[in-house]
Amino acid sequence: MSNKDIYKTQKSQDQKDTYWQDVENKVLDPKALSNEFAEDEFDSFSVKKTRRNFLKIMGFSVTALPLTGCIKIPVRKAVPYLYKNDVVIPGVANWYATSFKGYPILAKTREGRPIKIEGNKKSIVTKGGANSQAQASVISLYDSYRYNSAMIDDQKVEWDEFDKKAKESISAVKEAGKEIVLVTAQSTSPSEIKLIKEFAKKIGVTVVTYSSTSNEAILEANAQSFGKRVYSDYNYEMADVILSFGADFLGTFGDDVGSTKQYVSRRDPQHKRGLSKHVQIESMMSMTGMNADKRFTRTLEEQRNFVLAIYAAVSSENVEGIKLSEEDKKLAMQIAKDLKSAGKNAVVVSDDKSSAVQILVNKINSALGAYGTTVFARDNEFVMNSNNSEFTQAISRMNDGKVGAMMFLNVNPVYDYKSSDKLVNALKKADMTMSFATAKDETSALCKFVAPNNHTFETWSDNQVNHEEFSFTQPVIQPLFGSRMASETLMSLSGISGSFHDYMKKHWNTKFYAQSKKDGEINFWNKTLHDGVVVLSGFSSELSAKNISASKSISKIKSMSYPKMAVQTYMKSAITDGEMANNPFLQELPDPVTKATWDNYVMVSPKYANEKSIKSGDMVKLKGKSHSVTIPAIVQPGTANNSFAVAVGYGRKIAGKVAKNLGGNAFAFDNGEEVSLKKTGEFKGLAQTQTHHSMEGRDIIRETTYSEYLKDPKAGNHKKAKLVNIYPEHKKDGHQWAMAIDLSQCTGCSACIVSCSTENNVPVVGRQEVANRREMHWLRIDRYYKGDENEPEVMNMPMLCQHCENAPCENVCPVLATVHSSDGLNQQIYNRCVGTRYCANNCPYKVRRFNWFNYDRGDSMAKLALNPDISQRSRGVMEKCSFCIQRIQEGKLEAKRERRPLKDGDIQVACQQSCPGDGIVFGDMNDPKSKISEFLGSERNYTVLEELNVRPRVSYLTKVRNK
Amino acid sequence: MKKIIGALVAFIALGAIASYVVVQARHIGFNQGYQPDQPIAFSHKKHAGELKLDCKYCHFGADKGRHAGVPPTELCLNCHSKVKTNSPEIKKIQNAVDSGENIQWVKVNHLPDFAYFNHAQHVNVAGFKCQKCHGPVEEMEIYWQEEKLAMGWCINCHRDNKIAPPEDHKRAAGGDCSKCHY
Repeated sequence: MSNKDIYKTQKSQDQKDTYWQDVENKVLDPKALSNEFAEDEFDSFSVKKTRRNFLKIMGFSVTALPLTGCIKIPVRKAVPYLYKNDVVIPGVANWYATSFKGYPILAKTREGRPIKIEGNKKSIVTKGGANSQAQASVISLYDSYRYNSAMIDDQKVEWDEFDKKAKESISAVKEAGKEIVLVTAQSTSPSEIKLIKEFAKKIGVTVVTYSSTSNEAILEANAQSFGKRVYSDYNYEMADVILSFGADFLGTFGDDVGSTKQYVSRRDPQHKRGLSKHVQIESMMSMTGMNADKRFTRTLEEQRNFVLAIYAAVSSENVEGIKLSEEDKKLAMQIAKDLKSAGKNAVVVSDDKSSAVQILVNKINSALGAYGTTVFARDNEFVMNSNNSEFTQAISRMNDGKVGAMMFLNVNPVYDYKSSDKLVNALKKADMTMSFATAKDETSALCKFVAPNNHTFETWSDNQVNHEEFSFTQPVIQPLFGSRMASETLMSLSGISGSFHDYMKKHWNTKFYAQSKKDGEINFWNKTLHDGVVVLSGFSSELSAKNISASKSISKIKSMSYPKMAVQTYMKSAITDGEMANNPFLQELPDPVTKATWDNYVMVSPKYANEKSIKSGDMVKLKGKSHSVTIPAIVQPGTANNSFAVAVGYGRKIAGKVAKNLGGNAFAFDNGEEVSLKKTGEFKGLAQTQTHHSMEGRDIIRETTYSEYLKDPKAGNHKKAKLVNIYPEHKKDGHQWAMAIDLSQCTGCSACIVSCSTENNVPVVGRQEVANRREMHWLRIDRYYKGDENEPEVMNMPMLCQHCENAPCENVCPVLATVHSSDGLNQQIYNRCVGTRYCANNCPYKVRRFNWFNYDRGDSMAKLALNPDISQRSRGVMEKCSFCIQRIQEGKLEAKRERRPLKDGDIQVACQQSCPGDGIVFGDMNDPKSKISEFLGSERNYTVLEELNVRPRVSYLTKVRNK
Repeated sequence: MKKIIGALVAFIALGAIASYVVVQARHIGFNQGYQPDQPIAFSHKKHAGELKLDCKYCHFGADKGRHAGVPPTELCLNCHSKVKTNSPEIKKIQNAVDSGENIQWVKVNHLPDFAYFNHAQHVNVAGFKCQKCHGPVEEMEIYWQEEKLAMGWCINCHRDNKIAPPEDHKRAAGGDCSKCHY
């Protein structure tokens, strides 16, 4: 079959571009489809169907009916609080500022239970955005797979006994004259770092910082260029031209929310500095690559030669022997020209795992003068960066019997260390092993002592977010499972008395209050605790560049060899390193690029797939030097022909029931390692939420280029359907809710989906049901491809209930379960719905979701994360986006309680609130001063499928690319 | 003729059963007049009627949020640590607070999960007296459910009371489904 057949293209009438149809004609196993009705689910009706049984049931029903008149409601108990609490009022939410992985967030609690996470608007970094992991973290909090007490040799023990035995064990190791090693994750927490240092000093511990996913090449390069192992900071808001070599900076490279906020501020064509120009050169399709103005699929070898060519052009140095095609040389010259003309407002960012390449990237940024404007080498005071070679050395010392004890703090190296078998062998020789894992994992399963750490929401901590912002982590619930803060375990082991809260407070008073001296000591602490963030200067300094020669790096790059077929490992934005893999919300979140859920897979290029006749969903064995995985393949446009890409974070062997044995572990692959790929002949299929990638010739996404836009802001948006209405217009007084989504601001990160799901109690359905096209997400992000299959252009479009004024779903509902409200909402009334599904059938946007089963949350603890203001839908009921009606009602009530009119911005829907791209605007279109009115009046505004005359209340703003 | 009479009798009988069924079925799930005994013989008549305590002294949630709430047990002792401390009923409260084993009141008013009701909206914003829905509480020795708390009862009131604070655009007592069902 030729490529043309697989990728049928279709031309729209008024657009010259070619959009795609489908990547695969078949994805589902027909066998799986024939199995789609799980018989046992309906066993309550499985009485043998005979005439006699029918009459029996009928007879019973008729006689039983009058009896219902005698039935009384069962006695329900009302148990009040025993003690009066001034803060917790039943039915009223409390918000607390805390942080997740150091990034400031707000936690909404109801009756003391955290149920929703939102970004913290006071943060100058995240500016109110929160990513999908932060959103989903409330589910991890209630994960009953977590340890529920301290353990010694897999036996539950009390904490006192644990401390006693652990101390004894540690002193025994010390007496034997052996080394004690604490392996810890990277940290930017002032108080924790202080405690770790104190712990190390008191007990005599070697501290090793380990991370499976950090890019140490950048640390090495900065050590050479700036004299200190630091990560680079970027400011994409100041960048007019961004050149990225495989760096997924909107997803997994650095701070995703902060970077996205900066990046999208320059995707607004009305920004005073104009639209930024983003060029991405990469060997696999990344989320950031999808957003690039120009994206080029190039192999690792080509990428490195591009770096050489651009370095040569920018520094005016002569570099011989650049292996690029003539076309690519021209391209490199063009990019270099763009970079040079932007000067200090240009930035080059790379995720290359070679320090030689990173040194050259630093050199390019230096030559452009970008340091200090778009890129920074900052020496923050509170930072512990990974140094994995120290960990490797510690393992060999342990193998030699020199290390007697090893402790693992927030790391799981048995799962994610490259040569974990060496570690496992070495651990057998250790006298004492300890893990601080919150839930049983691969490492803690091998440890004698397990001191389960609290979840973030049960923890005190602090964090240096960037060079000037600090965040607080405060507990928002008592520990649920008998765990203890790792910090307090460390304190107890090193004989420091008191709580970590007091320890941290003392540290803050001496270290930070002394700096600011405003508000008074207590107020300073309380204000920081209340806000969750504080800006403090003087804890970071900028490093100055050293004059190092590039020639060594250049010759090193030139001497590199490349295998015929190489594997590249990457992180999915939701799963990252697999630490949160046991979170069903993250597993079911469609990957922004592939739209696949519940799996990792080998990305192969369409050309390679065609040559080897591989279909998406075929099981393949990917074999490297010492490691192999057998997982499905996925045909991914934009993958380099000699590359495979596979996500890490899967293949957990010891994890909760969600993550266990899901996918294959790719941590053992080196980046760029030579691999071979073989089909096993099996077909597993993939649970994708989108398999059809064509707009069928319709202008569902309207787009234009920046140059066109400057000439005519209405560019790409001239089409206007002729609409005839036979009904009278609807009354539009009072509030009229509407939403607008700026397609230029949407990066496809999918944080909105998790935010929506946690806010609205949207169930998780599992892999098979997603494969059956029965995912329940109220909001999806459609992803369309355009142009060449090797280097496609990608467009994202959030699609949710459009709240049509002339809603086609409403007039087919036989029971009036979906009707229009006076303020313009398309309402879905669950208790009225009988589940005919006519509405879903009649919806042109396919945004209605049907409950095929009773999706209760299997984990009884997870029910505690439900939003009590929303009803849980049962089997046989249709549901869909409600425009967060509960938030509308709450916003209105709040305004009325304060006896004032509703202001624009009082009501923020869940997806809008969490959007790191600020792409979603919601409000009252009858308020002429509202943001939504501004968006509705924009020349770029249009509605999808306008010609149907359904008049959606959700409109979109054209996508503008700076091509 | 016999057949016709037989058929007629059967028809009337069936009709009678059917109408009985319909009338009864309409009461399913509603508990108007429900007056269970409570674990503590608390008298609303005494407290709200004779002593004229403000309802919101105990049910303080009514002003602020969705639930009016049963008062925290400790709140009773605000007065009863001094007043009538020897009464066996008060001793039950004191015991509950001392032992931590809380009192399990019998819930009287109950709305199904799919109906959202907010006390603050009605008490604070609309300014209704509690008695409007809960009846003459100040006369109740043992509290009972006065109204049916059915949807028709809600709708009727919303239809009759087009009360809206002037700040809000016209429609406070809206009749949209999703004002209550979501």
